[in-house]
Amino acid sequence: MNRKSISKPNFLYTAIYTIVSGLFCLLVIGCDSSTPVEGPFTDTPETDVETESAATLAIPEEDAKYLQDVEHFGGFVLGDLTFPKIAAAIENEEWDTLTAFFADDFQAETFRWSDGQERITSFGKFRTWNEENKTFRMLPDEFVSYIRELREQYSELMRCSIKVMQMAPETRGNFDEPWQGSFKLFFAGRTHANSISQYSLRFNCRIAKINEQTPNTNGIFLSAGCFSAEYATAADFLLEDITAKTGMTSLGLRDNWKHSYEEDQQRPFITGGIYANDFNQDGITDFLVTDLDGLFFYVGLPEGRFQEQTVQVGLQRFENDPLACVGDFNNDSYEDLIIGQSAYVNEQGKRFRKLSDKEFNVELTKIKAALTVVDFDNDGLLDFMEVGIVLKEYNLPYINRVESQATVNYLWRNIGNFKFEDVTEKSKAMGLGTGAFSAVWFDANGDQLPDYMSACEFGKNDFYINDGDGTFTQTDLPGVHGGLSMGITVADIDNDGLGDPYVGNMYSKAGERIVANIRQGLYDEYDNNIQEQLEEIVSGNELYYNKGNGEFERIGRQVGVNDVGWAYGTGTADLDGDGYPDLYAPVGFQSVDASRPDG
Amino acid sequence: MWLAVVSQPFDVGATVPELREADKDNGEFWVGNPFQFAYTKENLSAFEHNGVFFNTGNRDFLDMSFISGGDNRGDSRTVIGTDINQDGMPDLLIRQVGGGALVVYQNNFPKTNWLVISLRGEQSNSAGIGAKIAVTRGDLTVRRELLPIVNFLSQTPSRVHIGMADSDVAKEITIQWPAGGTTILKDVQANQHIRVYEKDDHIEKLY
Repeated sequence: MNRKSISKPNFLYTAIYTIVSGLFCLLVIGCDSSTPVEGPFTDTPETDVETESAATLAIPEEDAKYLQDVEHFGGFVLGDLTFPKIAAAIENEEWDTLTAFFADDFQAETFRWSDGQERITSFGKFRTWNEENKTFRMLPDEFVSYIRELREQYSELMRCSIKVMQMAPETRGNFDEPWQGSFKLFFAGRTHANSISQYSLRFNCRIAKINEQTPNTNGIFLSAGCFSAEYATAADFLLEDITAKTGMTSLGLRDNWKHSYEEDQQRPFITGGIYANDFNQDGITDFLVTDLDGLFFYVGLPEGRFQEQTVQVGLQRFENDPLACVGDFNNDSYEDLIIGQSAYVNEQGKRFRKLSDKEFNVELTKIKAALTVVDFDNDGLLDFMEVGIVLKEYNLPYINRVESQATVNYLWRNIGNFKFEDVTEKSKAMGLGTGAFSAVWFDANGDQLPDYMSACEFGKNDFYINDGDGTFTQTDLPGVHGGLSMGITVADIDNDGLGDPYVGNMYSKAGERIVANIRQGLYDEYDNNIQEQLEEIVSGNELYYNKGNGEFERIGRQVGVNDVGWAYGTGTADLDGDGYPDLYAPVGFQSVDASRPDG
Repeated sequence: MWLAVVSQPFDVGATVPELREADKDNGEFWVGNPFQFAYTKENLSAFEHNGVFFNTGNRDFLDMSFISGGDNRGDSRTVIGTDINQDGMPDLLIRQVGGGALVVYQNNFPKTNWLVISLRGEQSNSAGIGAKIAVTRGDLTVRRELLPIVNFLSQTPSRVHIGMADSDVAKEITIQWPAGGTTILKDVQANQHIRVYEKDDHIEKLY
């Protein structure tokens, strides 16, 4: 491997890779023209993206047109223009208006609320219904009464939405004839009993037809059948936003919702990170907060308060690289830092001192996605990996292709006192190159050695088994595509001693709708299993249940942690203290105007 | 965005043509390449609520996003779960690009017993990263690996939090150190943050 050629990246990457990185979040700080910081993408034209590819369609134009048509009617006309009217009717308790959406011969199948499976916890109560529960047939008035009964539980309805999940004409191409699909109805708020609750009901449905008049047409629903439902309640909200009380404020941090961007100026999709540590070994967590607009170090104080001590601990407020990691690299027990391309030694919990090139022998790559720490050889010295280093120019595919080796992971073995050996080639832990964003180290196969899995954007996620001799073996994960993965965490969800990774993927209901409307055989001329990959790509977050011996079962959809939204760095915490880790999925890509449709 | 993905899955640089006219009067829009969203004022996966899932302990999860109160609709990027106020219940810190750059959620779930364990390695690395910790309380053994997780632009602290439910004593704590040794501790009181030393198995109380 010619390390020199890739450790100093050529800034003249093609615009497409720049845009890829800009959107899907490698290092976008250089793309933010309001912050002219040094960065790999600062001198890249922002408008070249349209000229980069002549191959605009891989499928026949009539198929592309059909998909645009069907999504226009099912997603936009029904989802964005019609369903909000139904939600508004429910929210405003306009029952005649709601009734008008149902055909005279409309029939519904719904669960009885007293059925289902109840689970009582220390903090609340859940009830779930599924296809094993009997459903009951209802006529339009009865169904409206059923919905009304739900609505009237709330003294303050905080959320009410109806989202199209699937929608397709019963006869392909016949939009003016019945459609079949599914939708999700969601209620949440404060009840008359002053508790809070949420209902989520999923229905199959038939729609009479969908055309431009549908939003103003009566009797559009022919039938609806509930196939799953979930209810949850608690006395009050279980998490409280205390940001303003902590002393760790958002002041000085970039917030796209408040920041003013010029017309055609790129909105950064990464603004910074947060890195926990115990800088002074007092047991209270401290935080390094990185941001486009500066760097902050918060020292933890008792009772959840923090004091900003950036300069006092020897760091520079104007540092604006979002990437960092924490680890004791010189084995003196104090946690050191790597920020961007620089290393800082922790001097006895008093302050950090930036190391010179002579003291820290690693020339860190500028374009990378993450830094992770591990003692991969269990020699007592903490090693680290640079994840997702841009390797070469490439117009990446969304689908998995082996030849898309566009990123690489560098593994650095600690040989003591901030000196590291590059073991990337020797270890064979480089990754498949499908755009790694982050990586988690854990003992996947129970042999006491740390293995790693990474979240890769454009193909299968990397999974490498540590062979214990300084090398790793690339191992396949189940499935044909890991989803467009943005982040990853790992937690032992059932205390069997085996970590179960939870991967955050891009997801939206639009994706599921569109892929479900692809004509069978559309991609048959290509040698990849494209359709199968696309179905995985739109399936949302994935939970890899660890079966031992380095084998996993994908259970994200089965256990209901998949269809959250466009997810990033998933997390875990035992929020209720019962000994089992709960999951958290941060989602949302670009929010600009809540009154306008989503993309 | 997804129309572009399915129309040209081999090239993220392709700009897929608009083959039907968008209903702009009603807000419909067309962006032919997902990466162009960055230069528009259009929504993409916008105002989505974060997901919070309760682990039933039976290889299953229940959605508690709304009732948790922690499912804000900002453009979130990463989360760290750790106890910041020393009450033994993990709090959440969310980093977002919009909707509040940093959001700190205090855990108001009903208080339980707890234990936080940090390590000090001797033959192993100093923080004990890679150690396996098993805490037996009541009829459950809680198992954790001490791993500073880098999920996406964040890192969790190098310690483990053990939810002790109604048990105020850990009957046994077993630590398998990365270097190969094992420490076994008996009858450790809950509700404290301890540091365990590989050198001599002694316990230091941090708070």
